[in-house]
Amino acid sequence: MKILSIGLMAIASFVSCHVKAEPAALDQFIYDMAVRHGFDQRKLVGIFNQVEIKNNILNLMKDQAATPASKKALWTKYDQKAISWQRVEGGMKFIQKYAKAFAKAQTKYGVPPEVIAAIIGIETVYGHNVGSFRVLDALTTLAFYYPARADYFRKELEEFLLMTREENLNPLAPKGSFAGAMGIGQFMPSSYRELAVDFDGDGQRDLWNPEDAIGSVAHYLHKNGWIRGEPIIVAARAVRGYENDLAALGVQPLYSLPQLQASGLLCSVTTAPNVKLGVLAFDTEWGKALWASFNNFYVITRYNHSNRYAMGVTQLAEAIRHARQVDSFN
Amino acid sequence: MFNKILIMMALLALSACAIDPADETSETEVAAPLMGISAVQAAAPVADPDASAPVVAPPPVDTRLQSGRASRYKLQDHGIATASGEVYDMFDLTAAHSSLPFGSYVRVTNTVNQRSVVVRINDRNEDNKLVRLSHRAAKLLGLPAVGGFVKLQALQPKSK
Repeated sequence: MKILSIGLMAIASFVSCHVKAEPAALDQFIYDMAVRHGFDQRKLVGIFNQVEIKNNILNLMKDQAATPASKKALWTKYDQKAISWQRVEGGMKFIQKYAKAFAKAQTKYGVPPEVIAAIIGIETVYGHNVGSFRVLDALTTLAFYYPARADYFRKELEEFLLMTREENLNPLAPKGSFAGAMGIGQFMPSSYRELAVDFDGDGQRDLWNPEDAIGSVAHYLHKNGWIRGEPIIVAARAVRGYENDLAALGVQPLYSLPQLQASGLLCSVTTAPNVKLGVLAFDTEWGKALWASFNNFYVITRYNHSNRYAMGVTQLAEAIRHARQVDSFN
Repeated sequence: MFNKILIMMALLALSACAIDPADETSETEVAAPLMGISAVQAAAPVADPDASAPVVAPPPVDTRLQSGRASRYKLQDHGIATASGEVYDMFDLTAAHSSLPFGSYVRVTNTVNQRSVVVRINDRNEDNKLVRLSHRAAKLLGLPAVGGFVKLQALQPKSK
């Protein structure tokens, strides 16, 4: 009977107005959650009644999708913003403060401290900026009022409900980014469920806790194939005229060094025969600057599917490492 | 104050091919990374100064203040091999000097605007300039394309 009435509501609202079609989709979603995962339908309805659909979330999402000027700017302009003095110094302090967790993460997952710190630095400025949107508001808004990515956000909303049930959290409590990313490392709910780890041994996976976040970021990279000890990128050049073809190969590590060299890459390194590389390219004032990208660069792009993001992480990590070295000098 | 900020700003990217020293020393049980490490060692035929710094104290360096003209790497130099065997990366904070040991850190100050960066020596300069700076270092110093006058002082490791 209840199912029928929800169905009727869905049809009614769909017929009445296209914009109003979305709450019907929400009813359907709630019904699916009850059937698929055994949620109490009435409780879910009660929870979603408290959800606020936020226009500013939609606007933020549209802005992000609209390829702002910063994405078109030369790398040399972008990086100076991403890698500020505050972030470098903040990274050093963050590593000092949680030295034990960083050491454990490196031993267990092979990811160097400065890489973990750089990701956390770029995501949330070392936990200072973890987001103030209720995750449930953000995910519901995007799942039902942002058609371009409805499938993705409905999936994440489902994962979020499961996650809060598993972690014993009130679904209305967690706060995060406008896209629903949570905690110091900005994990989406699916990643939270799959890859978060309890790193301080208190029995809870709490990604607002720095130690759990450090372990979880390292675990995320590890599970995505981080290779211990391998470089991230190394600078390269191209035989004149081959820059664009090489750049088009992309950063996925699919090619051996000899293959790339045969395609015009000039790079004075040698690698073991089984090491696969990709090509990273950024426009600079004088043309394309190239790097041979190792597997680990590609792994960083699994955290955020953007070469600019991964390059920002890489350079911030190197900056933190440089700063830590310099710190040992007078 | 501004000066200090710039120094810290300058603590930027380093050799992309260097590996983390702790990787080699802290793991005994892990066999898998060997492939990666061999790739790295090949990438840096000269003993990596970064890797050795925290473990063994670097050799003493001449920390007397030097001054003279600084030049910049050409933009097209990105990707060439330096004298240390590392690959020059325009976004790393490195420099070429005629005599300071590879891996030593030096503070370079633009005498015109007093901006200052710390760079790592990984190359030899053949011209008669005091130092040749990476693209990033030169930019942080506000050094014109034609170069300019700088002061340079090598850093000494802290005594423990």
